[in-house]
Amino acid sequence: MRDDNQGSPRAAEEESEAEAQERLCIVGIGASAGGLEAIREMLTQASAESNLAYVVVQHLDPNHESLLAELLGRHTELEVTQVSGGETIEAGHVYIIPPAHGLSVKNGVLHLTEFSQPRGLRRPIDDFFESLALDQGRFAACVILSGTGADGSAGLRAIKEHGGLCIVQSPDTAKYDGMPTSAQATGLVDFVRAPDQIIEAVLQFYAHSLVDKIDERLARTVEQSISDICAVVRSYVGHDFSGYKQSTLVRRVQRRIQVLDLGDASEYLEHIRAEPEECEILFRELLINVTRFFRDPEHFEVLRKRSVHPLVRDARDDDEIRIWVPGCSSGEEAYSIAMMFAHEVRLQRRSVNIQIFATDIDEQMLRLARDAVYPQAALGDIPEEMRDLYTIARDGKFQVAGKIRDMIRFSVHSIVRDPPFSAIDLLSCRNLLIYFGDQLQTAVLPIFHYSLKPGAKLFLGPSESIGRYDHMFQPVDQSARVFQRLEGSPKYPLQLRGQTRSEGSQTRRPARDREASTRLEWNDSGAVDRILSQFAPATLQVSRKGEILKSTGRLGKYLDFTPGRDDSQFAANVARPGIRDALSALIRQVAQNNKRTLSRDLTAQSEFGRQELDLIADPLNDGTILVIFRDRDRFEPLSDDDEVDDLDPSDSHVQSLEDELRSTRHRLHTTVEELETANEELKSSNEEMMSMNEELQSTNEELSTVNDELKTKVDELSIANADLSNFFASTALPLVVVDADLNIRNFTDAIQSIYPFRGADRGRPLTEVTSTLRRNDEVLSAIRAVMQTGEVSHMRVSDRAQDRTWSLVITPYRTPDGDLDGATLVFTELTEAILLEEALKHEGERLRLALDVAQLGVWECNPEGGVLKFDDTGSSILAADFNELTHEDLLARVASEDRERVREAMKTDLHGAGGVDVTFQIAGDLTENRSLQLVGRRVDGHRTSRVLGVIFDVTEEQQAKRVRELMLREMNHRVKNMFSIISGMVRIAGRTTETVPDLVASIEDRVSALARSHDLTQSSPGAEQLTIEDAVRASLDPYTDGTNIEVTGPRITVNSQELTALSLLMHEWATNAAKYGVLGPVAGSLQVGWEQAADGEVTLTWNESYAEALSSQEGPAGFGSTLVKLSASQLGGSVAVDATAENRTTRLKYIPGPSGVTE
Amino acid sequence: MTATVLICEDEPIVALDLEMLVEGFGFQVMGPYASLRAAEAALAERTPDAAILDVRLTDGEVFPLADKLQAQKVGLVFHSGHAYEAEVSKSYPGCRSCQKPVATDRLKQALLSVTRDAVSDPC
Repeated sequence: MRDDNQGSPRAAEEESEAEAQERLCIVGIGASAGGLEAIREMLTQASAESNLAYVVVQHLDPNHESLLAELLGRHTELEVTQVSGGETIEAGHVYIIPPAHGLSVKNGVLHLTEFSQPRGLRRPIDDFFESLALDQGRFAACVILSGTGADGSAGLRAIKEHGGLCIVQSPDTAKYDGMPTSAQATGLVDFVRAPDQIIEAVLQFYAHSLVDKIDERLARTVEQSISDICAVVRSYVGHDFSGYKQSTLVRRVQRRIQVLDLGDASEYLEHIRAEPEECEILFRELLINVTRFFRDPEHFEVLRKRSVHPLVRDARDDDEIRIWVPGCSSGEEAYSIAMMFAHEVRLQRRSVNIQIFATDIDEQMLRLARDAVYPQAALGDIPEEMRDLYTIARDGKFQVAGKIRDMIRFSVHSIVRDPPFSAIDLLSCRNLLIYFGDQLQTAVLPIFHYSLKPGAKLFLGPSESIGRYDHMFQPVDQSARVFQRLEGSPKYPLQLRGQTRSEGSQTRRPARDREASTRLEWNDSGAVDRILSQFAPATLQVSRKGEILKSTGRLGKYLDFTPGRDDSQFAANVARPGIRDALSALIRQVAQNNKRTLSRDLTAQSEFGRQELDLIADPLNDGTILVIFRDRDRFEPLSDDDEVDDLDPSDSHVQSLEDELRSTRHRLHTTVEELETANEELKSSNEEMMSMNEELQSTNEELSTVNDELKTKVDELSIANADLSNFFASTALPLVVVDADLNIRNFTDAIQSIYPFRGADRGRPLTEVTSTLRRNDEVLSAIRAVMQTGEVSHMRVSDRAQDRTWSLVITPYRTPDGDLDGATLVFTELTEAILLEEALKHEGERLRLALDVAQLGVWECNPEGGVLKFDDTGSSILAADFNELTHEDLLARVASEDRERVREAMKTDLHGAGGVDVTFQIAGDLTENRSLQLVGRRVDGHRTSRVLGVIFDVTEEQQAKRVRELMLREMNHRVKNMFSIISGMVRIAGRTTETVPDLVASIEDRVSALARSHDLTQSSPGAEQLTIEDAVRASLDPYTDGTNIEVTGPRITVNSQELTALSLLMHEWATNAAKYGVLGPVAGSLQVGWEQAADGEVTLTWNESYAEALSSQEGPAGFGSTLVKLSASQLGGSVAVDATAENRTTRLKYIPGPSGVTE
Repeated sequence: MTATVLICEDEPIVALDLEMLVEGFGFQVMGPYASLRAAEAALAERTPDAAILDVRLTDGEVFPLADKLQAQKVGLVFHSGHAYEAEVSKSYPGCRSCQKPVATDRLKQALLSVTRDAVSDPC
C-alpha cells in the first residue's frame, strides 16, 4: 500500500516557490520514557531566531497534569506552551502535547484529537507525524528521541514519503533505545545524532530549501540531470525510474542532495557514480511509501462486500482463488487481504484455496514482508476480530500468523519489466500508479487487464483511476476505487519495458535472486502446453521433500499413480521399481546441495515393460525441484521372464521400510498437530500476557515521565523551600502562620519579641504559648474570626508593659485550591511611629499656638489646581465664609489698585521656583484700610510640589510706616529750616559785627540759645506741655549764680514756635543784662514775671533793679535788638522798654497761639 | 526802574536774611510776609515782578498764592526745605526752586532768571 494523498506534497512544493523565503519548518519531536532529558538537551541548542517551530509529542499519563511545558520553558529561549487546541504554529515556539489527547495539524493549526485506541495501543507520535507530513510536506521534520516501543516509526515513514526530514537520537545516548532503534530499523532515517546536535542537522538540511532562489536553482539542475541519474540507477539496480513522475523523482533526488549537503545535481551525479551504495540508498528513497494494515478501512469494507465475499461464496471446493498484489512493499496490504479472505472463509465455513502473489521490486522490503513482524502499534489498524486470530505477539512486536503467511508468495517482480501473472481473481494495486508517469500508467493498465479473469476485480488507491481504459474496466464502486474487468480478449502486452536490461546488472543481482523466486506461468498459451505434453520429456516438479507439485508429459512409464488419493503424493512412493531409490536419493541430494544432478543408467520397471532412462534433478529458484525423465533407449515391452524381477526383495524391503516410515511420519504428524494445538493455546495465553505486559510497559513509560517531571519539580521545590526558610530566618518581620486548629505552622525568628517560640513549638496550639501581648485573647478570637470569614483583619496590639506597640494584620491562609486553612499573622512594630506621631502632635500644637497668637492664617495650594485652601484664621482674615478660594475669589478680595500686582505675583511666583510675598489692601474696606500680607513658598514633595504659605494682617505695620515717613519728612523740614536760620543768622551777624571774634561769639551764643530751646522741646516729656516758666528758666540757667533772680507767673503753655521765639528773645535780654545790666557788671536784682489778661494777652515783664543808679546803661542798638524785634514779630506781639536810673523794665505783649506740639 | 520782589517766609531770621540779601541784589523788597493772609492783602495793592515763596507758611501752604502770582505772570522762586522741585516745576512752568539753606549766588541767579522774563533789565 502506498500513500493515498499525493496532492499535499505537490501543493507544498508549489507553495514553497512563492514563500520559501519565510517558510516555517515544523519539527515534530516524538519522545517517551527518558525523553524529558533528551528534549531539554536538544532544545537548549535552539534559537528563537530561526524559522523552526517545535511540536513535542510525549507519551503522558492521561490522569496526571503535565509539567513538561513548565520544565522545558526554563531551559530554552523559545516560548513553550501546552497546546489547548487551535494554536497557529509560529516560528520560535515550542508546543507541548497535553495529557490524554492526541495532536494533529491542519493548515499550520494544531488540533487536539481524542484517542480511539485503548491505552497501550495508542500511537500519538505516529498520528501526529502523519498529519504533519500531509500538512507540511517537505517542510516537516521529525525527531525521535528516547523511549520504549516503536511509536514514531510509522510516522517517520510518512514524513519521509512526503519529502520531510527524519532524525533519530543515537541509541547509545538514549536512556531507552526502543523507539530510536525501531526508527533506525526502517532504513529511512536521514541523520542519527546526539540530542544536542539535532538542531544543527535540521538547520543544515533546510539551509538549501529555505532560500527561494537556491531551492529553485537546485530543483532545476536536478531536472536537467534526472535522466542521467536514472540511467545510473538503472545500470546498477536494474530498475528504470525514468517513467516515474518527474516531480516525485526531482523532489527525492533533491532531498538526497540536501542530506549529503552537496551543491548541485552534477555533484550528486558524480557522487552516485562513485558510490554504488548511494545508488541503493536512492533506489530505496525513490520507493519510500506509506503503508498500513487496512489503510482506508471503509474501502476495504467495500472490497470485502463486492469481491471477497462473492469470491469465497462462489468458489467450488477445489478452486483456487488467485490474487495479485503488485507493489506490496513491506507486505501490510497483502496480509490485510489475506486476513480478509481467511476471515471470510472462516465465516462462511468453507475451505477454499487462496493463493496470493505479492510482488515488489525492492528485495529489502520483501524480506521485511516475509518476516511479517510489525511493531505492536500497528496492531491497532487490524480489525479487532482478526487481531487475535491472525497475529502472534512477540516481545513488543507481533507477527502475522503462519496460516496467513502461508497464503502469500512474495517475489521480486516488476510489473513493467517482468511477464505478468494470469487468471487473477482480484488485483490490488494501491498507491503505486500515482508514482508512475502517464506513459507507465498507460502501459500498466492493459497488463492488469490481461492478468485478470473476466469479471475479476481491480482495487486501486483512493487517488488513482483507470483513466482512459474504461473499455477495459468498469467501476463497481467509484469512491472505493473497486473496478471490474470487462469482457474482451486479453491482449498480451508485448512492449514490456526494461528489456534492455544489461548483463552488468544481471551479474550484480544473483546474490539476492537466490532468496526470491519468480513464479513462471506455463499455461501462457496452448503452444507451450502442446510442447510440454508432446515433445518435452516427462517432468515432475516436486518439493524438497519429494511431494509432487506439478507434472507434465507421459509419466505412466515411470510412476504408478494410485487414483482416489487426494493427499499429496510423494514422487518416491509412486515411482516404478528400479528408479524409486534413485529418485529419493536424487531429490535428497539436490535438496541438500542445490545443484543440478544427474542419475544415469536407470531402468524403470512397470507392468508393461521396462525403460532405460537418465534422471535429472534441477533445483528451481523457489525451492522446488524439477525432475526430468530422459529416456535413453526404446521402451521394452514386458516379457514373462521379467516377472520374477518384479518382486525384487531389496525393493520390497525398502518399500516396507518406507511404508513404515510414512506411518511413523503420520503418527508424528498427529502428535505434532496435538502439540501445535497445545502450543497454540500457550501462545494465546502468552499473547494475553504480552498485551498485559504491553499495557504495563506503557504505563511504566508514562510513570517514568511523571517521575522525571516530579523529580525536577522536587528540586525546584527544595530551592523554593530553602529560599523560604532563609526568608524566615533573615526577615525582621515578626510573622506566625497557624493552621485551621490554631496550631503553629511556621514563624520567623523575629517573632521572639512577641511569642517566645522554640523550634519544637511548631505544631503546638498557639493558645498554649505564653505571649507578651496584653490582650492575647482578643488576638486569638480575631484569628478565629478571620478563619471563619476569610476577610483580612487589622488591629493594634501592645505588650504588657505597653512599651511597644504593633500593628497586627491577620490574613487568611489559603490552600492552592482556595480553601481556608489557617491564618498568617504579621506584626509591624509601631512604637517608633507612635512616638513620632506624638512628637508631631506636640509640634503641631505649638505651631497652632504660634499661629493663633500671631494671627497667622495658613494656606496651601497645588500650583496646577489653582485653588488656595485657607485655614479658619486665614479665611476670617480674608472675611471669607469658606476655606477654599480660587485665584479669582482671592483677587476679588484685593483692592482694585493692588489687584494686577497680586495677580502677577501669584502667576509668576507660584509657578516659579521661589515663593510669593505680596502685600495688598482689602477691597471695599475704605474705613479700615486693612492691609494683608500673603507669603508662600514652594515645597517639593516626592512626586508633587505644592505651595505652602501664611497670610496675616499688616494694617498696623502699614500705618506705623506711614507715620514714620511723615515724621521723617517733618524732621527733614525742620533740620533744613534750622540750617536756614543758622545761615541767615550768620549772614545777618556778618553785616552787624565788625570783628571776626565778635561774629563768632555772637553766632555761637545764639546757636547755643537755639540749641537750648531745641533741648527744651526734646527733653520735655512728650505729654507735658512746656510753659513760659520753662523758657524763662532755660534762658536764665547760665546766670543763676550770685544774682538775685525772681521768677513769678501763672502757668501758661507755649507751643514750639513760640518757644523758639521766646527763647531767642529771652536770650537777647539775658545777654544784654549780662553785658550791661544786673547779670553782668551792674549790681542789682532781676524780676521776671508774666500775667495773662482776660482777653488772653500775655504780658511778660523783665525788670532789672539796679543797686545804684546808672547814668547810661543803654548798649548800642545792633544785631541783638534786631533779633528781639524779629522774635516779637514772630510772636505777633510787641516789645516796649522803659528805662530809669534805678531800673530797666522791658515788656513783651503777645497773644499765645493754640498750644500743641505740632504745628 | 527797580524790580520788586515779594518775599513770603514765616521764619523771622530767615525772612530778615532774605530781605537783606534781595535788597543787596538791588531789588525792592515787598514783605516779608509770614502768612498767606498778609501776603494776599499786600498783593491786592501791588503786583511784584518776582516772588520768593516759602512753601509752608503759618496759615498753610503757599500754592493758592503761587497760582495767583502765576496768573499774573510773576516770576516764581520757591524756597523750601522740602524736595518738591519736580512737582512744583511741573505745576509752575518757568519757576525756580532754591533749597534751604539758600546759597547767595544761587538765589541771585534764580531771581535774575525769573525777572529777566518779566522785566527787561532788573538792574
